[in-house]
Amino acid sequence: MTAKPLYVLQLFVADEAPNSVQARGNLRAFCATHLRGCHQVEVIDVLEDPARALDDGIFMTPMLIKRLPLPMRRIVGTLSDSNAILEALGIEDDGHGID
Amino acid sequence: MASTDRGRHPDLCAELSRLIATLHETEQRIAVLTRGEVDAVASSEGHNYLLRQAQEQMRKDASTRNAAILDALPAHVALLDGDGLIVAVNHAWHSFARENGYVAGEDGLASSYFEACDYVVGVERDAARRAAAGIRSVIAGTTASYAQEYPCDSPTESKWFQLVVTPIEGERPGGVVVMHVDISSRRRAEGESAELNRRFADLLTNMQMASVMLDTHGQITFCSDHLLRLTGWSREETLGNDWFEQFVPAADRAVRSEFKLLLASSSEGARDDISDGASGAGKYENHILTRDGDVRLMRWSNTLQRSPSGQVIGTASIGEDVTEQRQAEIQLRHLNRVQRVLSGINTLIVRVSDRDALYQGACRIAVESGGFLMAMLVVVDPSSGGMRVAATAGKDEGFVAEIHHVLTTPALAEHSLTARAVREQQVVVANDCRTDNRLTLAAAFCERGVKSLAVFPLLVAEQTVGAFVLYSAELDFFGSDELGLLTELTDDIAFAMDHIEKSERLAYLAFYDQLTGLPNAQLFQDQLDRYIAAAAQDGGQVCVFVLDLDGFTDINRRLGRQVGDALLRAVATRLQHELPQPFALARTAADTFAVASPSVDGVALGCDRVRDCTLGALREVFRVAGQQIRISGKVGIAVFPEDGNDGKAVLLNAESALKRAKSSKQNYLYSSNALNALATARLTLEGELREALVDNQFRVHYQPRVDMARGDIVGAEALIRWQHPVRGLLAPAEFIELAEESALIVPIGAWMLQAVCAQQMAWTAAGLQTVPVAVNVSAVQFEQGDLLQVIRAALQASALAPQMLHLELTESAVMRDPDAAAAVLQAVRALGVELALDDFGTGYSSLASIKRYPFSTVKIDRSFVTHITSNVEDAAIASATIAMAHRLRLKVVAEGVETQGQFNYLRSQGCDEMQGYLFSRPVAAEAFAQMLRLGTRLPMADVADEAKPTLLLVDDERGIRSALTRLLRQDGYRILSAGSGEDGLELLALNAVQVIISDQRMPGMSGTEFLGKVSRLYPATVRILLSGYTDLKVVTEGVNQGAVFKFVTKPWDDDQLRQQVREAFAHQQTGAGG
Repeated sequence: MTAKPLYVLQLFVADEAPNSVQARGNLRAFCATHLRGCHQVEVIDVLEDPARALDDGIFMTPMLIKRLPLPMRRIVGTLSDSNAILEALGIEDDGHGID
Repeated sequence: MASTDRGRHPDLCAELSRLIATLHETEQRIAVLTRGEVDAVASSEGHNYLLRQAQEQMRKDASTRNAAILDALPAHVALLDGDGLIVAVNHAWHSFARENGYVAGEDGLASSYFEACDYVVGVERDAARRAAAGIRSVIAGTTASYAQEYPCDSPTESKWFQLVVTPIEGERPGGVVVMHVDISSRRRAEGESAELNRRFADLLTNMQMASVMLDTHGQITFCSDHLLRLTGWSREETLGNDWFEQFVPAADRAVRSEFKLLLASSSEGARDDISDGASGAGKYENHILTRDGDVRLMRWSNTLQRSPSGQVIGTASIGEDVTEQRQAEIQLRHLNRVQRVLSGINTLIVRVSDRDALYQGACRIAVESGGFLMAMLVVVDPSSGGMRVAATAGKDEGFVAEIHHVLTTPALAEHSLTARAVREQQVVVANDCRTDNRLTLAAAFCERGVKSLAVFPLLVAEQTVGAFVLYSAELDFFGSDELGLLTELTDDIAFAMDHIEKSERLAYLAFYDQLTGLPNAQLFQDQLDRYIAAAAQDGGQVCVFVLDLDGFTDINRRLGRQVGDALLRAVATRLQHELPQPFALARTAADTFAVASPSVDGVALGCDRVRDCTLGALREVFRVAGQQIRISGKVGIAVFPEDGNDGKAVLLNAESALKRAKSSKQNYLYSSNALNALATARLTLEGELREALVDNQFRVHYQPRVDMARGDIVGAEALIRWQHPVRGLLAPAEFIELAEESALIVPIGAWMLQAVCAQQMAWTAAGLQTVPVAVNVSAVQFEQGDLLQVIRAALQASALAPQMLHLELTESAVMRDPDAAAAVLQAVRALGVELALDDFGTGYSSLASIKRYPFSTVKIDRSFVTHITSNVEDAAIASATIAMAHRLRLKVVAEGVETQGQFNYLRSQGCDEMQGYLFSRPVAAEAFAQMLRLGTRLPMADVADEAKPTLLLVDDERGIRSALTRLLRQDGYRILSAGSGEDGLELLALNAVQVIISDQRMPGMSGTEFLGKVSRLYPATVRILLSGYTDLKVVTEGVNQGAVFKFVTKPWDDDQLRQQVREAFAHQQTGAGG
């Protein structure tokens, strides 16, 4: 088993709008479970910082972007389905997640 | 933006409506497409649009949150606008307003707070006006905030509120937040505490107890009126002062450390006041000083004081003046003690009859029962007035010596309190020894803790005969009540002294002979009784002697009474010097003295010694009153218990013995039947022995000695017998001891030698083949008689060849004076007379050490021979003696051989000759001559049988013995059988045995034990152990120790056993042994 690479993630949210709040919570739980010790998350509020959203071509929130490892991936939604996220992020579930 | 366009383009309205509808639809579609999971959508320019759903939710969340916070506050909160209108209230305000019905309408919203204040009437009106003014000032910005506490009695309860007004920051300038906080419980608590303080102060002020509070430095922070009254200080003179400096006497320094200890105890986390605390100092007593310098004893209860945070800030104490109470207690205790002394001494007075016991007892009781530190009894000499310490208790020797020095040095004694009491016949008291300058030894008293003392004169017939001094460890012990009781006590002591004095004088007159100072008959009887009681207890004896001076009345008559008295005194003195301790001596009549002497080491010896001393005391000439007087005496002797069960009877018997002695030629006589009988018997016997010599009543018997190899007689021991005319033939045991003591043994021994020599010659003349005869020589004969001369005379008289005479001597006879013995024996041997060492083994000498004497024979004592076949040690000694003696070229004779077993064993060990009942008892000369004539010899064992291979079977079961005998007989062995180990040993002594088969389990001696003995007594035998039990441990030990050669289990295999026995005989013949 090789060490997991560092996952650099960005979550774009709209202030405390309900889905954004949910997405934050789900992402925190997901990282704690599957990416413990190998993740770096930045949360960006598009209402406060619309310029960054524009730069990144964000047109919907909440949206998660996986910057690293490449390829870059984007996921829209509340991030409530862990398996979908694992798949989308290209993470092999090595079983360590379920403990 | 959109609203500005609304009125200008009516068509646009429709367009806008459509756009909105589209947007709405788009939004819904986005929501559907994203399952409602999207919050915002951005335009291509980067504008973010929150979807409606998210917007609504956010709005709702924010207002709910704020309202929830406000509603959660317990304070009543209202927002007022710049005009004082209530614009919002929280839940607490709402419910308070509703419950109390102050404000009409819903929540009072939009009503004016100021108006409400203006409506307030009654007691709360002023507070309402002030509140309104305060709010206005905050709204106006003249004060940053406003606060005020006010009472508010609603119809249901009485409350206190705090009003706080603060401006609202931010978007609504001019508005304020008004908050009412319910502070009723705080106000209530403050009120209660103030009330409590007031009541507590009242209590402390009014109660009849002293109370004081100190801070942690000991400074007075509170002081009750009672304490001030008690001490005479004013409050101003005490508050802030150091308690310990102002109130505690210097002597009670410890009080401050107690205080510090109390404070320190709190830091250990103990929150209890000290009455419950570990220090146990809840009740504490100490003295305090009043303003006038008086001292009061206070009993305090101490408590720690703490700040609300638990910090110790000082102590609070409540105290009671127990001065009087304590004094009463102490006095009661003193009186109790004195009473105890009084009753103790009264008991003593009844009991004791001698002065010293009284003095010692009185002092001891005073210290032990009365708790006095020390007590002393001083005796005054009535003639000189001098004082002497007669008894003390509780004092060390050094102190007693010091006091004694003071009392016996007139210059010092004069000033002592004791002398004053004696002189003035008055009690002298020093109730504080530290300050009393009348005391001569004040420093010494202080050093020993004496705080007060009293001297009581002892008066007899208005004369001071002594003084009783009591020392107390307490100050002021001797109060008037105590002195009263103690005076009574000393009167009792004085009375007892007087009584004893009188009775002692009487007793002396009654019990002593005034002429000689010796006890008289009555006291002698007492002393004798005491000796007898002691003797009766430990089984001892007491000798009583009564001495009467011969012709004393003559002396009195011829030389005068004075000379007679002087002579009696001289006799008394001499007896006292001469008699061996212990003794009791008395003058019991005019010229009669009595002596009692408990036996120390054997009555005969003790009696004889005292008797000789008593008579010896008179031997020397007495020089009295210029005269030389010789005097003799007679003694009567009696002994307890032989001559009586008590002193009276014994003394009486001694007196009657004296009477008999006086009428006899003897200068002493025993009363004792036993002693008399013995003495008489000895005298008689002694006389008879002398007569026997003269009348030729002695006889010689002969015990033949046999050669052990051939069985024929080779010699004899001559043994003396006394043909007593009345008692018949007596063995030496009945008279030899006395003969030795009285030295008659010397002529008797000489007679014996002559008789034996003469007999030998007579036999020779008669043609008998004589053998040498041995004569015993006693130690006394050897020392006192001229042995050499006697022997020479006997040989010459008979013309007997010296070789036909032997002498036998014991070790002890030789060892008394080894050098002299050696010389004599050499001379005797030179005559040609052979010497034998008798009773060998019973003394302590070794054969090697007797090498220097010319012995030719050693006789083994019968005590070794008796058990020689069964006792391994005896057998070992005998065989070692035989071997050693042979090496020293000494012949060995065994004495007391009675059995064939003994004979065989001794012979097997190489013993040369024997004598004993096996062959013959000592016999008269004629019988011995007959034996010589007939050539009588000891029958020797059957040689044919001896030659046969012999097997010994030992088993306690007869059946097994028979079976084995049948089985093994067919191989041609001679078979012996025994039922026990003991019998087996006997058979072994009698027979030459080569092989032994023994059972293991037998009553008494076990098989291995038996075979163990056999292996040491007869090492050449082959030993087989037969056992039904495979008792391996025992068998192994037997084999290891060489006791067992083979081990055969029961039941045995016939053929195998026969084979094993055959092998055993073969083994034995090769000489290997077991």
